Amino acid sequence: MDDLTKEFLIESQEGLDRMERCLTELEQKPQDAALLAEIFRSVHTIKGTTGFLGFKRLEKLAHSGENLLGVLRDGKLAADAPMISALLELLDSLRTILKTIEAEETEGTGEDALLIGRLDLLREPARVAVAAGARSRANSPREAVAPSAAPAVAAASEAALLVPEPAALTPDPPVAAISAPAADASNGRAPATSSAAESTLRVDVALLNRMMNLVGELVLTRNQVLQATAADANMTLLSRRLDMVTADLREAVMKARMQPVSNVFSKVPRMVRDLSQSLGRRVRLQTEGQETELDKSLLEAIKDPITHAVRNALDHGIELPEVRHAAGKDPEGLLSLRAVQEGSHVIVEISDDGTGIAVEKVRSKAIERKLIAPERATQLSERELLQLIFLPGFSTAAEVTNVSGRGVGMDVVRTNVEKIGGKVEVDSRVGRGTTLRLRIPLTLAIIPALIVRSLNQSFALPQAALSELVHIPPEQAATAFEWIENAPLYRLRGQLLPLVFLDRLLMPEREWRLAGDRGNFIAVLDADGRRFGLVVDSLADPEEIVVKPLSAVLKDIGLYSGATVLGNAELALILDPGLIAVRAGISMHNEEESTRGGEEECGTEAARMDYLLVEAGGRHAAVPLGDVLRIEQMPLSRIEYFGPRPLLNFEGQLLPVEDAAGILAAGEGDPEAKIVVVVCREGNRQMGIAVSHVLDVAAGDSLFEAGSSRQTDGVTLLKQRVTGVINLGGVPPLPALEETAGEAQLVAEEVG
Amino acid sequence: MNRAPTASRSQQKAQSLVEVCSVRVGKVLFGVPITHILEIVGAARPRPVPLAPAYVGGLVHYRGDVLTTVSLRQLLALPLKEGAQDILVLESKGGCFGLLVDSVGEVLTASAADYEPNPSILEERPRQLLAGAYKLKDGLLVMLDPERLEPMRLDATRHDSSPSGAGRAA
Repeated sequence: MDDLTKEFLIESQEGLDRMERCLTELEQKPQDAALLAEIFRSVHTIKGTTGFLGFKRLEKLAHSGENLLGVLRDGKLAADAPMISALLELLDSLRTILKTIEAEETEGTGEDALLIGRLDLLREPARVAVAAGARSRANSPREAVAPSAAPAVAAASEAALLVPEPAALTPDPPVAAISAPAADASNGRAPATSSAAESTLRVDVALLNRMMNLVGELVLTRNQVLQATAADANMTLLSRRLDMVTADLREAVMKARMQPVSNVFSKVPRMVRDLSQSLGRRVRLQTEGQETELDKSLLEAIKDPITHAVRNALDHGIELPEVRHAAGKDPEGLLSLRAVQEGSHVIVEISDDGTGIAVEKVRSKAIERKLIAPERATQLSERELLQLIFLPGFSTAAEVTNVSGRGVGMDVVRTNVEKIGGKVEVDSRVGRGTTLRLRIPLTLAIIPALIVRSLNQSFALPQAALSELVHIPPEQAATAFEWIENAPLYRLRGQLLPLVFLDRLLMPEREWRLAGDRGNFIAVLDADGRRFGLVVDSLADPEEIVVKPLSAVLKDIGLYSGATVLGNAELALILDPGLIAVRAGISMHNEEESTRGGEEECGTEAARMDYLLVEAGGRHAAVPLGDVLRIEQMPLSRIEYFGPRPLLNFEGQLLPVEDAAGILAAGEGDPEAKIVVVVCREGNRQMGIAVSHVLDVAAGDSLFEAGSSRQTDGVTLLKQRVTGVINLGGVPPLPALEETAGEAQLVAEEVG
Repeated sequence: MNRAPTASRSQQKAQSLVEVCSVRVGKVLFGVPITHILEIVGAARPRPVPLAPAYVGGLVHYRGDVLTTVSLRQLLALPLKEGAQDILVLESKGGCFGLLVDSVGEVLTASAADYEPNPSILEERPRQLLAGAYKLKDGLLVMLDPERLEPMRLDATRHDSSPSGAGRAA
């Protein structure tokens, strides 16, 4: 295919995408001249270019569409629903032909006479109707009276009016006549679009991928250069610059791969229109955050899930207008699409104000389908029950979808989103609507990962699936791992966690060998609702890894999702926690999840909360886990003082550090001393708590004072010990707000 | 080995000549048409892939990509070699892959007149991998067909029969 044709295909596709958007919008605002002009231009450009590329079929079709659009644009006819339907049909036909050209370099042999006839017919009443209607335009009556003279009156650039006869009768319009107006048209819109056109450039995605690869390569080489030159003082400056430039370059290339979500959202209006017509719904579409950007490949990957979710919302969510009216709702349903960036993720929400999902029905269906045991089903919270709709098998039978209101292929949505490292959850209230939330990582190419070692090889574990790490010292190895027959288990905070030994998984013929000299590590993973511990020999530092695809043969092994090159130039395979769980036979709804749900349920009488258990100056104290932002270990020298108050410059913000136990003073004078600071939040404030160690996370029970039903404040029952809760509100604010630099007071105290 | 032996034969100058990259595995001299070779990577240490099919020699880092390699020694049922090996980066329909060989030699020019197809006595497995041989002055140059060595293809045609073609070809 020659470059000209290729260029034409790309441009036309874009033009048609724009046209599609405008057409659906036009239905709301039939009089909008700007929209009509835009649509006209898209079709006109296609027609102009096809003229000299010699695509006759395309040209004829575009021509008859252009004729109709010309009439519309001149305000002689209003765009009503049948007309928009016909234009959309035209759009689809044009697309089909473009696709055929792309695949076979010919236009194919479809028959367009019917559509052309329809388009022409729609245009026919124009001359009649306009005479009577005499639309707003001053010159239209004149045109209407003498239609044959109109072309001469109208601007010469209007090809539509130059050829008022049905397109079928003008098989071969002179090329010059067509291309000239095309040039005019492009000149005409130049002022509006030239700035964008001049500052942007079309780049092949393959080239971008290649650039990404090369940048990854450069990062690697840089790491090696940095290591090699670390000792040489002369090179430090140079290598530091190399380091900076490489980092910037990587960021720039990643940025080049980003596209706004509007590329996907723009397909929705048409879909909503077609679906609501065929389903008899009335739906208003509302989009938000169209400019949010996402890596190109990820955008491709969420296209299907979004389509699926929108279809579901219209099919099962939003009710028929009469039903809605009877329920006292606006007969017109609302479907809203929202995209927003949150840190390193983009959240895409698809919500409707339809029937919602009846939790009870989900429960009974799940039990009926044997997806969950009845006793467990009663323990699950509403939220947890709702997530059951993502289970494969929940949605297979038609009646399930009718009952639950949702569920066609929800497992497919989840699978697709999780494939790209995302998460999906659903919220619903009966009668109020449903919200589906997709959580997508910003980029697929680079992910944070923990590097683990087993069999003397490095493997990368995506951080997204990692929930915590447990170290088993060698002397505990014999007792820490427990067994039921030959299933290894670990007791994690009182609950049994199924274990997978990575070395045994990768080398099934290998002898059991527990704990090397430095013990083992358990990486607690959450994958597709499966929770298990992966036992590895040792851990290396977490790294941001560049994901490289694997060849099909290795992908088929069904354990690895890719490979990467580590900072030390070693190759590491990326483990896929979901696939490992499947291979090891970890079940989807395991004991832990359900018992935990049960605990929450019975815990409601004596409100249970999760606490971070810390040791400060030999005493145990607790911080509500919800208030903990981060736990930082740092050299003591990072603590600065303002008067008597210890302060921490934390990510550019000043944190007061609470040192009730005098840990800071104890470490004074030792240049090597390190401290642990728990960064907490209290209302809008943030503060640091200096502690000796962080011990654990545990759920604490509230205590009641003897003889009363009054809940005690400031203490909780943690691991059967009464523990003081650090009162974050008691930490005095910094003097900027309050003049008195209040003395640090001991608020955390172990009572028992 | 000089380039002359076949090319200088006076018979038919215009006769089609083939440029072949020679590689050595064990005692045998194998040939790969240079048109299929993208690059030669010397002294590589592939990273093993647990649970991969046996013929996979591991992964190597190649120009920003991770390349799957095929171990010719394994395919020919020769004892595996420890340490660094040379890699031919080959292009095939399914993408690039690496072929692990003991060492890469020079590029030879062979004449089509010296070509012989696989002998009928060749066993099934080597027959699938080899594509005839050129008769050189000092021995045979056993041709490899890069398309047939492609990992996906090997996966489809995998057999457990132990090939012995290498010894015969020497």
